[in-house]
Amino acid sequence: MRRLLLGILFIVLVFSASVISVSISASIRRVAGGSADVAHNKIKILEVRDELSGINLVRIYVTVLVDVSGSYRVAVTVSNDQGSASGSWTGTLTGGQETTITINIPPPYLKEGATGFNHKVEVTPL
Amino acid sequence: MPSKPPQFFCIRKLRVIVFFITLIIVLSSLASLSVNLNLQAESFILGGSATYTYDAGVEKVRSVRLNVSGDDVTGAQATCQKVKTDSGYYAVSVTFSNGVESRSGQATVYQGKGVEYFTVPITFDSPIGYYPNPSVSAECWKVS
Repeated sequence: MRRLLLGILFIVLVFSASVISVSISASIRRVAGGSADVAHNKIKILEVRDELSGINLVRIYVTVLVDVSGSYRVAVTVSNDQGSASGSWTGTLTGGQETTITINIPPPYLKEGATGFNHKVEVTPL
Repeated sequence: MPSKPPQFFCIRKLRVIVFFITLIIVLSSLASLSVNLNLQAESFILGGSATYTYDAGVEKVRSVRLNVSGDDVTGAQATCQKVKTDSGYYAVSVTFSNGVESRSGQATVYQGKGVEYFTVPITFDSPIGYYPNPSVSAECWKVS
């Protein structure tokens, strides 16, 4: 009786696992195939503009275009041979509408150097 | 024949209950994993990061704005900073890469004295897809 019960439970477990794995693989195929009902959130970083005060980088303007409205975090890290600086912004972006974000770089400011500014911009949905 | 003590029955029942609880935990974990993967699939994100690299020197790029048409990049507008008291011909070059292929464009313009910032439009030979790994590099310099 006990073995029978264990056998039934094992079959139920295997069946459930197989059903779930089929469901997961179907989801993956649906996304990979670019199915129309899957909302791809396409993010475009259209512009990065530096503002300096003398030789100090004080502000960065980033223009972003997203497909899906919602809360986002925009983070920028700037580096050159003098070091690196970073800043971020959190707020709401509207889908299909370009938004220019102002990110203030906190002191100590990054100074201009022998190499130019390299900007790494990351936009993350919250 | 003496009957078994009642605690053995309790232990057997307890083992069955523990087994059921374990089974429920395993199944619910798999179900939550499935739901989580489904939710991730529904909000598939493209292009969450990009790099923009500008040059240094006497003349330097201060901004680049990409011209896009749908998911394609057709060109860019680069803003260059020069010495205000200088004049001459200035070249601006922009390269866009999506991590798979790249496009470059260059333009030369004349700028007189009194101008510190100027913007140059650049059109690529053919459009290039923005995704999957966009990066931009730009430079400007005085030609003569």
